[in-house]
Amino acid sequence: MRPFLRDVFLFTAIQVAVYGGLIAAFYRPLPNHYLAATIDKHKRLESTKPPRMIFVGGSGVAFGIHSPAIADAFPAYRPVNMGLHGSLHLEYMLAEVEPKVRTGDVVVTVLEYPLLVDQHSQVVDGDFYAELLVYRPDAIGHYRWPHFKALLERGLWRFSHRAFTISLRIMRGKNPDQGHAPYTRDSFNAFGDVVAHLEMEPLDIRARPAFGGATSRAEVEEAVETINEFARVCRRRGATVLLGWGPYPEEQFRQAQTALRMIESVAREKLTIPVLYRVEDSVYPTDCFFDTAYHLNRRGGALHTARLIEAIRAALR
Amino acid sequence: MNFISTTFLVFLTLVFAVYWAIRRRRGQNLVLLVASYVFYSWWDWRFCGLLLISSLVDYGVGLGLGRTRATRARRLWLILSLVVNLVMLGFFKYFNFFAENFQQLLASFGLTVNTVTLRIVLPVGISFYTFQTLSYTIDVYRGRIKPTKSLLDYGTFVSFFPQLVAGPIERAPRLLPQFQSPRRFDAVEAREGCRFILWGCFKKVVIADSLATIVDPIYGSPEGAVGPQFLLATMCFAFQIYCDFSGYSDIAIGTGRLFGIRLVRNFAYPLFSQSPAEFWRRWHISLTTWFRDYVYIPLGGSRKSGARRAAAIIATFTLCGFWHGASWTFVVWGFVNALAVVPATLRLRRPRARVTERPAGSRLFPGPGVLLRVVATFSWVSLTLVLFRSPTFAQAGHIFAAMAGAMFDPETWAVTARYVLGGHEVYQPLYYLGVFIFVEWVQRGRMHALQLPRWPRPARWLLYSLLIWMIFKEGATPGNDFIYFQF
Repeated sequence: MRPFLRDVFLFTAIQVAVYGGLIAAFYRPLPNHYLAATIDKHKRLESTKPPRMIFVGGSGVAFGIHSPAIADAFPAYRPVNMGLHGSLHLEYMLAEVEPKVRTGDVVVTVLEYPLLVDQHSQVVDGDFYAELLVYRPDAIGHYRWPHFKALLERGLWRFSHRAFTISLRIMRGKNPDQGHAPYTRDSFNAFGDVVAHLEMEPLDIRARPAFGGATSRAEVEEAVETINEFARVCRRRGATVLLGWGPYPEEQFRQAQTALRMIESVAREKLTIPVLYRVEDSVYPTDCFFDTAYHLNRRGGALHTARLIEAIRAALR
Repeated sequence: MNFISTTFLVFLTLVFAVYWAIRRRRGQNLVLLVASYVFYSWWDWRFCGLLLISSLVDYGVGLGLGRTRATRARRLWLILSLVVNLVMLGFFKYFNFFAENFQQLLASFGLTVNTVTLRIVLPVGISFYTFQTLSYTIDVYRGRIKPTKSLLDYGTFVSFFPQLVAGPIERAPRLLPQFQSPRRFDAVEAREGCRFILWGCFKKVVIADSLATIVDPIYGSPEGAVGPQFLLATMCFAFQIYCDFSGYSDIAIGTGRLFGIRLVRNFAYPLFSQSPAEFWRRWHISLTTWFRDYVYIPLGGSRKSGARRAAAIIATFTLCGFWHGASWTFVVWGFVNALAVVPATLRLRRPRARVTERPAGSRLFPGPGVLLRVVATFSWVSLTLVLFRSPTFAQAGHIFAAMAGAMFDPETWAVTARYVLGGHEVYQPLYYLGVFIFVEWVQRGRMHALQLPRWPRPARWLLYSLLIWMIFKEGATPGNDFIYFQF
């Protein structure tokens, strides 16, 4: 068996040396990658003094909240928009903020519905989770089994191929592709809102259906318990936690309303924090969306932010 | 767990290390049994229950058959096995099909009945391991093998992970004795296994998955395509499904070799066949021989002539089509293939080519007659695959009509030429395919294309590195599951 193992080892070592050597020599994280925005968001969260108004959620929060309007409406609070990507899952979103919550902060979780149905339902191709580790290595502590599984399936493979391609381009003196607005780091403003899309032409989102599938009550209860646990810790630190619903397109609401109302009823029944408004209060016309059923455009973002301001004001009164 | 994943690579390395660290046969079987259940539960742990039930029932039936010589009792044991396995398969694979067809049948008589359709998840591989366990009980019943008394050996035979979910469908007389005898590591076999795995991965990732980028959009939105595009997509689908499925089989065979287990050959260059009958002897060999031995021969196909033999062939092929999926399109696909095979089987003017023989003769440049027969057979096979690939008869009809109508319309050919030359996502897979066909043609006398005994080691390693690079590159795009997982 030894000659066989020696040959396998030698052959593997040659492959690893060629690919790994090139990556080790030339690969650099892309400074303008969309996920690199997580660095800025955490920097702002750490450097902003309390009391802050911290918005937590997926990319719907990044695209749909206008923090300057929030800052004007609540001069006592400094807004921080932590929304980045729905695939990070609820547990991760809350866990990355939790250690940094301080007395007087208000944490507003504006959650897309899939995050409340199955906390890991948004698990995407594993290369996303490999890529995130480049910009935020400690994220690995918040990964759960589905993320590791996705990483192992083809995530590391796809990521290493991308790293290899980037390395080749850098070696040849060319600039690697860093993505296109609004999915780049420089598409965000200082608060953490995506703003590049505000000047862009919206796409027709009707071909991209919103969440509306079958929903199990037990899954929603599990998500609600995660939020309650987070709220308990925040309360102990003297912070307030509120919950708002993510935006939803009007045209698709009729089909999905049974599932959405079930989620709402579980939340109202089991949550220990205030729910800011009803599900139908965050339903907007289809032309208020930018490119998916989660991302609002300028008009939609303004409406959604106004709705939030009104509801937060009432809750904090 | 998908073969084309880093998960499988890690899994295989671990199982290989533990397996050969154990010297005793029973210990090695236990490792394979546990690994196989882990492998299967990777999709959904609940599927393991079905595998366990199937294994336990047929193990018990085997013991029961071994303890009695009374014909009536033996028949009852066999019926028990058939009922349990076929009910399981029927429920998970065909329940909704029968319920919907029953409803439509009643509706045609003006009766409205609300039949129940269930949201049933088809357990991956159920069609394969059900047939494998059935073959065991039938062979024990027929007295071809003695029942095994070891549940461990039998469980390993049923669940052996390389061939569990998409074959090759093994027979007990061939595979079970391998689990019952000691295994010693054989470096030649292991190297050959690695070459099988590499070539299988190449076929799946580089050829099949890249051809899917041509086939899927055209079959997914047939209203936007013209006749020659359907022709192109259909021929590409023939190669896609061949590379997808034979790639899986190669990986399975190679993985088996790493553990000192030899699995049956499943494909013998079927796309170079010179007749539909030869194609079916070279395509999915483990399934076609299963149907031959357990359906065609019991129906009298081998002993009768004329109409009886033709009827046996038609019944066998139609059933084989239905095995592929719970849809009438598969049934008709099986039926039309039978129609093509019947005349040759009835005439049998020349001796059958054995699957171990090189297809299409031994010459590098074949004569016009051979070439014509190969092209004609491939064209026929491709056309029947329209039924296989289309979800409905309406779509298949649309595609056939578009292909026939566009033959003499130069504009549709110009549209297709622009489509082919329009982007690398179309011409690159075709370029890969061209190289692949050439390599397979040259190597068609061997078990697989990487058998290159005369090449010096550095040249072989360079070739392996090139293939690995292509797999690494093409596999970095979102992959497709193996097509036969759905069956």
